[in-house]
Amino acid sequence: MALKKALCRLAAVLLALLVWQAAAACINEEILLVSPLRVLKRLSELVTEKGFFRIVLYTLSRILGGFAAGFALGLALGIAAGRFKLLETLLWPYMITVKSVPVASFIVLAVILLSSSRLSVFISFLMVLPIVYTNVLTGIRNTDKKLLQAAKLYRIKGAKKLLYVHFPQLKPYLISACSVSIGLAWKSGVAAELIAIPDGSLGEMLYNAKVYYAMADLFAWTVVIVAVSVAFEKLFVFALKKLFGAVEKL
Amino acid sequence: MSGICIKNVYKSYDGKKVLDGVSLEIPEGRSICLMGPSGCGKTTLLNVLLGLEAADGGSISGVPERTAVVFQEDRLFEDFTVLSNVKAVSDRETALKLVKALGLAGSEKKPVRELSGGMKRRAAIARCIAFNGDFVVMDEPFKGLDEGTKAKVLALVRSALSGKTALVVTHDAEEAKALSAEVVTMTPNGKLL
Repeated sequence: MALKKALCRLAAVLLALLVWQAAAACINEEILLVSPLRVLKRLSELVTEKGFFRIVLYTLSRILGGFAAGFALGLALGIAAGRFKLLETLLWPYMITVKSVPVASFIVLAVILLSSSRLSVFISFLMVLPIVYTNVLTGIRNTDKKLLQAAKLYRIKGAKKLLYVHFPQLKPYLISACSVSIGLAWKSGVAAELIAIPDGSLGEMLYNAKVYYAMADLFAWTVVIVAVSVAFEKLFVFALKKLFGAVEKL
Repeated sequence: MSGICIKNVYKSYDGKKVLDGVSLEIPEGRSICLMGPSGCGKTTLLNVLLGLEAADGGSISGVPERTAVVFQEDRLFEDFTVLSNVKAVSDRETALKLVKALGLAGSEKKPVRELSGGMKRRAAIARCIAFNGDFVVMDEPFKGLDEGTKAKVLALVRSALSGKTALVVTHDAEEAKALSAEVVTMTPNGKLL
């Protein structure tokens, strides 16, 4: 069943690539629409260029930093707000602001206050925080009341209660939060780099491609961003599931 | 502790009386089996006694702080192993001993969600005994156990309840007899005979 699904998806991707190739051939203007074959060729050149991995690593480290900070703080605040209703109320205006204000507004504001190298860290952090916080809070709020009663009677408190009662309930919420927020951290982080243009970043590469109308470069770097983002998301969610599995076997 | 005293307890749901002036004394160190038809309010009485639901009237006194419970629906930590569940309320050695005694050896490292209904029941009993509470409450603890297993578990529970204050809900008079417990019967209209 899983193999059939994977094959169907692969076929859909191949079809989409064919449509893209056909459209590029019809337009026949690389500046308007570059063909997938040309992108692939440019990508293979970029990968072998000196400094390619340094550029990827530069952006990856910043987005990873922002994601880790947003994840940790979102988790801690979500747990604390689940315990103390007052904290949830106090945090509400901040979380709702971060969720509703366009990311571009934050980038423009933060570019004045922060150095270009730190901007993507901050923006990624800002995008991840409310998602993780909201999911964790929902997970805590939806904790099985009957398990809470059992824990109370059996005097399971504090960290033990968190581990046995809340942790399993949080699992689907945390995994879902990570899946959503990692992609968002990448999109917003690269957008921040595109505006702040820190030296040797993926954002700078996109900016240069735009300035020189190098469409093959633009598409190739975009493919790199998507690939690294998806790989990071899959790896993180896999590690998270393994962590949950290991804890449950304690 | 001089025992548990339930005095004239009332409880209604949507105007329907479930507990109608229930009074019961459970002397310290004695086991009582509560019997009665399904839906007569046995579980409600346990919930009120454990403080999980508030009574509409009456009083309850003498319930010790350390109460071990086998809930009607197990209420185990499903994602964790059998051993983890029992260890959550006791030390590892006690947990291992009980898991083995209840015939769960070999399954102790399995997550509870992968166990059969009968195995989950035994895991819930293991947790209850491992907690070593001053008061033990069991709501149909032998439900879902085959006859052979039930006899072994009954013997173990009987020995664990020896000298303890306990209230056990059952539908089976033979179980009450095997536990050497005094039997109290609840009528379909929420009264105790």
